[in-house]
Amino acid sequence: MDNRQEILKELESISPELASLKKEEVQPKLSSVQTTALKDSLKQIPEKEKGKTRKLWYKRLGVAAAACMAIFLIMRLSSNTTRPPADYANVYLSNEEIVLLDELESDDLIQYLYDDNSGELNVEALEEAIMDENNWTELIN
Amino acid sequence: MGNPEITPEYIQQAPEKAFNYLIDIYSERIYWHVKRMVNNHDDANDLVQEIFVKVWKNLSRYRGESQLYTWVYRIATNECLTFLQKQKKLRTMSFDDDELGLADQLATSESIDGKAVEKKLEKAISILPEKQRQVFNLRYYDEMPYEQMSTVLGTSVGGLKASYHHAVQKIHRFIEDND
Repeated sequence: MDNRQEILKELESISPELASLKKEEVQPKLSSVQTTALKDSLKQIPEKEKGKTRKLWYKRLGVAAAACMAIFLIMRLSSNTTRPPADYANVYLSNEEIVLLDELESDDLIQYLYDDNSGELNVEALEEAIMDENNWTELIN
Repeated sequence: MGNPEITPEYIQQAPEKAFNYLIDIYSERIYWHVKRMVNNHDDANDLVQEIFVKVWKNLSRYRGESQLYTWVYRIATNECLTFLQKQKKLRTMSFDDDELGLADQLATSESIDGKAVEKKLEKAISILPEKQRQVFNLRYYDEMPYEQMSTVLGTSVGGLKASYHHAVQKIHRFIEDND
């Protein structure tokens, strides 16, 4: 017994009216114009979706480029200080010390911190400045 | 109803061809399935678009575990249910009122024509509870076997048979009472 016959038999046992309606049933159909319009619009989906995906990638690339630019600018601006050409790598400074050194932009202090003779960073002077950062100007004087 | 030619391998090789083939075979059938669920031509048209967008996006994930048409019907049914739930929330109506809303939509729908008895049948279907309406439509109009319906709706075959039986009884009573 095929599925349709099974359905009809099932209906007859509950509702003979529905069974006879089912027998006479004509499958609804869209007009040929409607069908063509529906299929045509659906067949454009892959192209539209590819376009959307491309746009999304361009957007992501744009955001990434803007973020890189912002990071570059921030780094550029933060490094634009009167830091002397001393080589920090010669001495071991903690992060706190480096931050403090960056904050203390006074030429006087920088001169004070650097040994006049050797031109190297005076670590002891720096440590003193760190220990008493609020009074570093007094230290110079 | 099944289409052995559109295999997962075929989809991997030629997704657009497979998709166009799917549209040729199923688009109208899916339209009527959706139309019966939402009772409105414009909503059905929009939903069919959304359904096929989902089909396209997920086509590469089809692994052939169920028949392709069952898979497409499942997507369609889920989209319709989501749509109906959204509508229900939007209207902030009670369950009964929502059913009346569907029946009202049916009354104002222009694309339905046919004999008075068919209209009466459509009206009777529109006031069925949601689950019974789905089961009845899939069985009566789409002639779907219970096993496949079980995959589409995620309900046991026994439960589906019971829902269908109740739906037919209710429709029968409605047609008798409105003679």
